[in-house]
Amino acid sequence: MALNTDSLLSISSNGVEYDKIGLSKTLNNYTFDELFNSVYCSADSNLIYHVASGGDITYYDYQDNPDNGHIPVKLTPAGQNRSAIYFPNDNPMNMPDGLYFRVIWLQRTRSGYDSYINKDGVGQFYKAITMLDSRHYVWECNPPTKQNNNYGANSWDAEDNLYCSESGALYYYDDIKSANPTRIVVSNVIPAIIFKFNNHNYILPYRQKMSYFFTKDNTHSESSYNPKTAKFCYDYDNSNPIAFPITTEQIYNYFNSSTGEFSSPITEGSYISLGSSGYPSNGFSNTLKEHVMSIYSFGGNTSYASYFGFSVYNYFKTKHECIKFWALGGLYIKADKIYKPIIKDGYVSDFTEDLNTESDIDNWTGDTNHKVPDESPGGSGNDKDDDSDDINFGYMFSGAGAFTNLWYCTQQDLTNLRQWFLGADAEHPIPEGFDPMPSIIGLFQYPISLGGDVLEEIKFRTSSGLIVSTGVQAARGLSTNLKFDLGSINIPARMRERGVPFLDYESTVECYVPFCGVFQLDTQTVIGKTLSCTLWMSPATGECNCIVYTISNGIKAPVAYGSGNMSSQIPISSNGWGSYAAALKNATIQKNQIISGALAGGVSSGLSDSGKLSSNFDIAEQIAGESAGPSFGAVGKALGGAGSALGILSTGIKAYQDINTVNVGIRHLKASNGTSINGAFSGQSAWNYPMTPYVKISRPHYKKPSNYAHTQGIPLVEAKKLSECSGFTMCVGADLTGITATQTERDIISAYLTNGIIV
Amino acid sequence: MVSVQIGTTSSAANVLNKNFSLNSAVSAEVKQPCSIEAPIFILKTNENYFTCNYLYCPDFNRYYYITDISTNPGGILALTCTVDALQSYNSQIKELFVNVGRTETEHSNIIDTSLITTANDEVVFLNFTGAGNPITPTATGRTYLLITSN
Repeated sequence: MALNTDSLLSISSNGVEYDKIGLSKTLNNYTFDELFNSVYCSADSNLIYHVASGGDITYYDYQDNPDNGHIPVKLTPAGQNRSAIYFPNDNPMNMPDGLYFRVIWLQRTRSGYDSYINKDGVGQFYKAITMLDSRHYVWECNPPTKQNNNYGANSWDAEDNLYCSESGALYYYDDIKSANPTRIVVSNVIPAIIFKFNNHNYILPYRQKMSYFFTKDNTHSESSYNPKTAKFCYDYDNSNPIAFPITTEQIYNYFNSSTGEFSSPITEGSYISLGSSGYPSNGFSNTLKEHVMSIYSFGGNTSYASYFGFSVYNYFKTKHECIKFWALGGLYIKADKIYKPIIKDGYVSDFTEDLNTESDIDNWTGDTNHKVPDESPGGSGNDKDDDSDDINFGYMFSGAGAFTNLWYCTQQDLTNLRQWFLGADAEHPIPEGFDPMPSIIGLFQYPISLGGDVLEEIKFRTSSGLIVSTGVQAARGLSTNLKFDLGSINIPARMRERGVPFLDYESTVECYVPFCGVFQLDTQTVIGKTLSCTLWMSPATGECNCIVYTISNGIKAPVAYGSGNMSSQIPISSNGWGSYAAALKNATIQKNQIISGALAGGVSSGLSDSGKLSSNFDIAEQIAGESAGPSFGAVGKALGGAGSALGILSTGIKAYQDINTVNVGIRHLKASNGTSINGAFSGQSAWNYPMTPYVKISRPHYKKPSNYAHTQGIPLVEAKKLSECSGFTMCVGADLTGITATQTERDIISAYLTNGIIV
Repeated sequence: MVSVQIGTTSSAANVLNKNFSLNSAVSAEVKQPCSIEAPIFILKTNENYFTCNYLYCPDFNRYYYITDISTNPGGILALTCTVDALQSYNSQIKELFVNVGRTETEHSNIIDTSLITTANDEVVFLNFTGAGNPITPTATGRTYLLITSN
């Protein structure tokens, strides 16, 4: 079923608009499944919505039901596992039957560190969940109507408890003290939930949430796994940061050696839950800066966390049997590192990057005698967006995986590494017989800085497993996608202003997006609208994707998607250098052709210093000279050659800046030539193209005499009473009923009406 | 004998509400046989009607264009006329409900196939503006990605 773009949800909040954009398809090809499989997060001052990736929302009944051994009951009914999306109008899309939710109310206070997210105080309002089907609310909790408790006005009723884990998972309890309490966990809402109340972000977007530690309440028996009464505390001043990976023993010691901020030490056999990391914010310093996975264990019920898009499903039971460690096959993943837990005698004693290290996890073949569902409640976990904006674009991880390390390097880093290759660093000798060249998999350059502020030493591993230090520090690539907001533009309905509105729709509108190329836009869709453009780039691969969307009457709708590649591969072998030089040369030729074409098209007026351009565009000659020189043999030479190569590339970037000068000259330029563009917009040659998106509007010229409307009229096609018309009026198929004239006269009248009369 | 008012109009034939001026009514004979759509009025007069082009005949309840004026001996004028159906049935015509195909005063988005467009388009380039996080190329900083085996 095609998606009605008018019904796309878009809600403004404090002047900020949110939108759902996630699929690289034209909008009218969306299916409902695809819609729900995307991620959507939108909010206004009262409501929060979220569509989880995978489209599923899973409910677990965590009643302490001894009949089922306290095993959480998965309540997701067949056919009703649609995730949450809320449409402001009543089912405008004819959504299929299913369950949807919206967040309405939740209240908690952080006064004291001794409680779960729940009551205890006044004034801090959270939003809660209500479930609704496609047309009606199924149930709705409305705390202000239930204030019969001891916690003051406006506080949450003790019998109606909704709280949130640090990951954003929401739990709803209804009448917990009644004879038949209903406790429902909505656990697949983790990353996109945003809580903003009273200008406080208590549960922040995923990367900004504060750290909590949950423990089982000591007052409960071993069999009572009640997260409602679990304790939580956090490292308020970040005085006790935990470095991960962390072993079972370390976790136990951490809790039991800490004082002050931690409410109570855990006891042997306690199930613990560790909050996730994030960025320091709002005074809630992140305790687990290096922590890339969250470990939850609300009384042994669930554990679920995710950071870089991976669902990690972990279990620690301190000083007790390690029940389960399950995370993508039992591996702990941190960016592009993979750690294997060393489990022995029920404890996680250590972690190792050597996947061959023996561990009890190797013998783990089943998942029995535990109190967790076989599947993570969070599903595949690919619905995680690790940036902090209000739009959740889903799976943002772009790591290199298990076999490679990514390093964000400066030119100096490469020079230092080259020096090490040459054996110039006596403190870090290259082991005899070790050739580091095969360990270099790739070298790319980008037209932007990739960032990275955590430096590590670049190391290599010999075939015998020996770690070889280089002494060269570089930023470890975390592979977080980079987002670029490329601005917006209004597409004017200029021909309407000129009195020929239909010619606006005879116009053609093309849009250029850096690295992604040129798109022909649907004129009907964009005329008179505002276009915005956002681009994401994965530093691990250089792949970039863009979306161009309109904003009209608060509604956003994508009008174009595109993709490209920002990176430029730098050869690291002699075989590669020749092709690289040729590629550079070709790129330069392409660039010159573009400039020549632009100049021929009348852009020369926009160039104030064409001489500077030509001097910078002599790269072809430089490249030719380099390629004619001695062969760059080894990697070391390639890296060493980076000095000259980088100089060339720098010149290329400088050339870009001049191109941008051209681009500025193009702005508002009226030209008569067309622009024919073909091929890919990727690689280093694309660096020379404009870095600012632009649109090219081609409007038809027309000949319209001044008395055109008076003598020929303008198309209207509308039924009207003739007395309501004025001026030249030409009728189509006039009915002369009521005219008491002779037939000849009627024919005369008819002919005049058909050919046009002046009223 | 019929009564006619002779005068002038400057309005084009396709004008529904014509501007005209008519003199006082005079008597005229109608050449027989008479067509009510194209009558010939004959009158004896000393007035100069040679500049007149419009006529109203109350007896026929019609307005006419004077298409020809011929003189005859004895001051006899013969006014050859053609009916102005638009003016004669003005009030009835204005009450018609019609499908207006073209109009002078109202604009629409309908493509006007009568309008002449030229082969030379007007081409305009417009840059996006207000980028919050634009792509800003640089040759410095961590612009290199080195991939090593793990």
